[in-house]
Amino acid sequence: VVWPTSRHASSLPWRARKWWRGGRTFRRDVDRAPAGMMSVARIISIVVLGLLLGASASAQRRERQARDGNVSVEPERIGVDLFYGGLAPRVHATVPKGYQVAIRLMGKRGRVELKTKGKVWGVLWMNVGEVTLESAPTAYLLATSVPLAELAPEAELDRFDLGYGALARHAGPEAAAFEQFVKLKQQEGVYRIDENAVRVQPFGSKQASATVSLPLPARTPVGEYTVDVIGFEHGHGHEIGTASLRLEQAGLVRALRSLAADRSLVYGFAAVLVAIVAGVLTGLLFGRKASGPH
Amino acid sequence: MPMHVVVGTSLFQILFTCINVTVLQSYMNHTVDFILALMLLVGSAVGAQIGTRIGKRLKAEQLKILMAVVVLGVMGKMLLGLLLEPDVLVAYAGGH
Repeated sequence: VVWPTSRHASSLPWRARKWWRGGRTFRRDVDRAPAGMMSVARIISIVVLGLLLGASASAQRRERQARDGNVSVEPERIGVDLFYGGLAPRVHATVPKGYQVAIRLMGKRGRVELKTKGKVWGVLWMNVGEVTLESAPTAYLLATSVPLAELAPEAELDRFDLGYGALARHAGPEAAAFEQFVKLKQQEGVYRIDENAVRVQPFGSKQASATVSLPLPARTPVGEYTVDVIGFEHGHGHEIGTASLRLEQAGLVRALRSLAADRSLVYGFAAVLVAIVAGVLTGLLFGRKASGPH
Repeated sequence: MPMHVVVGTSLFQILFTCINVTVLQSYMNHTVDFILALMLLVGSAVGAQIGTRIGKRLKAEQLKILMAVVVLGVMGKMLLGLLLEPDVLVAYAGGH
């Protein structure tokens, strides 16, 4: 149950406001009613109040979203500490009513060097060569409100980097290798396409809210990610807005990384010291006194 | 040289080699994973105690068979890895 504060009272309807301020209208009704009816009436009033306040909070969120920008990500920063096991940030966007929506989270593009596997002597699967992809994002999560094929023609999807086909065209001439690279990334969970995952709900006469949770696995590399929302009307795409999301190391992981990077010699000696101390502790805990030479 | 002296002396000299290599790997290549090393340390310390207790209850021949089964199992897994077509026909270059 949400209990209203005096701050909320002004946003309530007239009758409820009267009740909240101890107004006469409601009291007169209640005074006439028997005790059982009175408690039922009170419960109904509380439920109605809760619903009204919930609706009011939702409307305020939408107003804030419309004022601050079309796209928001919660949380905007994710700390990767020792016990980080992945997270699914929630993306909200305001789009024109009637639009279909694609929400894409993408990491920085960069060169990726890969080893290719092939058959040697017709029997053994081994590394047989190397291939370089010129431009592949570190992570690629795409969610759409309808199947990708129904969203827009292929050329229009390519224009907004939607789908693995569009990514392959940026990656260079190694199309077959890129296909395998996508499989590798899918196994890691950092490349993913979820069709029909975006929930679009109309509000008001001209707008709709689009929401989706994008699951980032624990293996997602730290760094800056951009979240783009693209709206589609009759197969034509329109940029709705962009937000950013940052994954950064935190706590012990961050401290160890900075020690290893900035003071590598100290880190090395600390590692040796910890190993020796751990060995001595193990000996003390589990060791037995020697009963003479073996 | 008596056998027990050989074991102790060998372990002593390996200690210095390990210290040297650990510090140099940290300094030159940044390839020492502190957390992973700690996890391996805890796992091996506890595992060694369990292994010792189980080993005491087994006969020498049973231990030999157990060791042979483990070695053959690993060999079989490696052989299957070479003979069966992998799910993904690429791997990260550079030791990822």
